[in-house]
Amino acid sequence: MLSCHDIHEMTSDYLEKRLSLKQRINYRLHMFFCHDCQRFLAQFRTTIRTLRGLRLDEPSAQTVDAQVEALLKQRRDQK
Amino acid sequence: MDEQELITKLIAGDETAFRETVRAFHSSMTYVARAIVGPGSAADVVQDAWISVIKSLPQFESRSSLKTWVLSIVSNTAKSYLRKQGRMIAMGDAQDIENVGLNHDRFLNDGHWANPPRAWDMNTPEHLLGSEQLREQIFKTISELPENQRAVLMLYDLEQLSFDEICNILEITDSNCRVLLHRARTRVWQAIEHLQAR
Repeated sequence: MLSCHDIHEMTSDYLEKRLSLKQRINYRLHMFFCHDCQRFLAQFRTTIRTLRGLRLDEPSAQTVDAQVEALLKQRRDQK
Repeated sequence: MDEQELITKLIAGDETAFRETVRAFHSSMTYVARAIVGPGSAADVVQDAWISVIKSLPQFESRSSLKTWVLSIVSNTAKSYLRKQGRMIAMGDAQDIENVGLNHDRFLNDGHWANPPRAWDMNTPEHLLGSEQLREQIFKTISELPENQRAVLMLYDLEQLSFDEICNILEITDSNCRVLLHRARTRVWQAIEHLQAR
């Protein structure tokens, strides 16, 4: 029987469908009885969906300008 | 603009295309560079990688997405930078992985929760993303992650690259990649819990 600690460790693999059939059955069996782990799984799933809804921080306009200028210069020098 | 059109414009030296590409790729490139060489040298690596990208673009064969290809160039540039400095590549270091998991005081010796997860005030991503305080806390937590965890989290959950692509870019094993991802997500879950728990 898996412990709550085991469940925590396996949760990303469970959500990414990376567990074997036996591990998956044991995971679900634990979930059936454990209210705390049910809550953990729901919160972890929400955490991942929240992360996927974040937008990557864009570089500053200064960084973009400097990089583009360097690339254009590089290209001119290549010719 | 589709990817082929973008590539054609980049090869032609179109400034707008350069600007759009730098804006879209620069952050991910920096995460990969920081994961391999650390924060001090990442800007130099990204700079050199861009130059390699521009030089090599005519040879790009579209076997992967442009972004994956660009990130592989960052990874190679970073590794060659380390080699030149005689430094070792330490991605996915086992000790780093082991030391940053969920606090063991969350569990009893028998593996049950000692401090079970508490109910959250907000239960949906839409609500969580709508809170400026929470968004800031999540970004702060991500910025404090070890470099390798942050790179895997950003590439998998935000950029939605595959495990295979990430393992190739960062040269880590599949199992290390999964552990790093889980540790990083756990940190973010704990950060949300800290603000949200009733």
